[in-house]
Amino acid sequence: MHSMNLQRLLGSAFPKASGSWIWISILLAALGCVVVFFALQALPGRARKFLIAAVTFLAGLFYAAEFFLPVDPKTDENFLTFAVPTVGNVINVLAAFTLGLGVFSLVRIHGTKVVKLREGWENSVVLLLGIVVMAVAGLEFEDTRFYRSLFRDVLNSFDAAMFATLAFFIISAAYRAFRVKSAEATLLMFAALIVMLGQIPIGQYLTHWLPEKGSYASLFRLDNISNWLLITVNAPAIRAIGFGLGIGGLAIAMRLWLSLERGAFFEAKADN
Amino acid sequence: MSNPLQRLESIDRRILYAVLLIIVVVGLLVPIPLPLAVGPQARGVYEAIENADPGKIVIVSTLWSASTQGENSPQTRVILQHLMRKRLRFALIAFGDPQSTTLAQELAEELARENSYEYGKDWINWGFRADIAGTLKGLVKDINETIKTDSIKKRPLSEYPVMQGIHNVKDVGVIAEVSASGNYVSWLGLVVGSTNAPFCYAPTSVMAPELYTYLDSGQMKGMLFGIKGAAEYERLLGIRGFTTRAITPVSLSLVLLFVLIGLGNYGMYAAKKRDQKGANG
Repeated sequence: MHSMNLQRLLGSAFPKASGSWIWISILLAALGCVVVFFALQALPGRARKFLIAAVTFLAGLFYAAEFFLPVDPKTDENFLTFAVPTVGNVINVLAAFTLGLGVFSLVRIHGTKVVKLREGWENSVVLLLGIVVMAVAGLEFEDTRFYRSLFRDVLNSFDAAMFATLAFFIISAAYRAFRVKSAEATLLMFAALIVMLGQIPIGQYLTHWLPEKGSYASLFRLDNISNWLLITVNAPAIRAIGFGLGIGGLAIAMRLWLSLERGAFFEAKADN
Repeated sequence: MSNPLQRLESIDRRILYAVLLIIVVVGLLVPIPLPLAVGPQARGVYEAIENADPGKIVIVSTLWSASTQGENSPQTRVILQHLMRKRLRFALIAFGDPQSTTLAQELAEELARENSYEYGKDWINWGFRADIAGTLKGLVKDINETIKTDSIKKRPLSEYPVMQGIHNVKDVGVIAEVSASGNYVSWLGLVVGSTNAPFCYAPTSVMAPELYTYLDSGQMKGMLFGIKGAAEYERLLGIRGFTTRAITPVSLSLVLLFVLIGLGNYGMYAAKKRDQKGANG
């Protein structure tokens, strides 16, 4: 009931736009954002910090409240559930803005480098040209061979080639660093060798004559030993690390939600 | 002057690179037919799809780019091949890297042509989403309202026959994620508890060991362990494709790694012995 009332109220406050009203709504929203931005800039540091902390708290409160508030057993929803997809879309729009922010930051840093002809400016020119050409091709020529060639033949090939060079680095690094200098290093090396051997056909071939399961002899198959190491030894260790990470993550999330995290940008601004 | 055995400790890296390159090229050109045991992890993914309810949709989520396509592309391919063989309808969705949606779509289009799969009727692309958590929370409640339009024709989801009867995550038969990242945490935390759909994961090899804890708990029904997992899946499907052949250079590279580690340690041992001899006079 409450859910319907809130939904109706929001629906009447923000009716669905269509046709040219969509563009007018977008323009008004953009103008509103500009006004809010300048209003925030004009606020004194402490007031701005309070406002941002309040908005952060309310934004975080939505998902927490939606999750913890009891639901109507008939619909399996509470009065906030209807807004979950919309809030998800709002977050997607915000996340998309951060991509734009990244591009803006790249262009600013490398643009300055080119203008001032700092060391390595030629690389920055290539980067900026790459961004412009790829953006234009993606936006205007998406269904053409030009875009597909840029995407498949250039971007993908560079990306894959760069990652493939890691194999060479790993071979060289493992050869130089994997030395049996202590009991722990020996244990680690043998465990790694068995796990890796158990994952490849050549390793599996070494003990393929043993039965797969149902006999004590199967315990000595390399793939079974490898699986045992991964499930019985590795999994509990990962689980313990996961617990630690989870508790740490929860603490960080609480601090961010309640704006207790010190050293943030607005903290510094507020002190000015 | 050090003897040749001691020099094994410091082989020039260019020689190592050259040997690796030769091994990979020869391994690709001359595949060695070796037995490949199908592990319970790959079997878990196979059985999840094999037993999927045909009335429901399968979500294939991708989070990979060209950098990891050596492993993630074969994984996506075998999963899509199995879905099409079973005539299950599926939806692609991509997170993390915008390349992901295009690469997965190219694979789906190629396989769709071979298997007479029609876009909009048998499969659909929900496109790329920048935010994972918000989107997944939305999928749990209302798929149409969260995704709104597909990424190819930009039309509302409700207009497509493939989406008929699909409202939220309870209408999903299987969730399969192919990833080069740790996205499984979001799926497990936000979606898996809200549906009976089995969750399967296909990570790169380096990520796989951290997932055994979720396989052990049953939260993940199966996993494709890098390219080896994809090769096992090809075996389950009765296909001998590129992935099965690609296992030879992977195996040979690892054997080279073992040999080099052995040589390096032997060189170290020989040098230590020489130093001890020198110290004793």
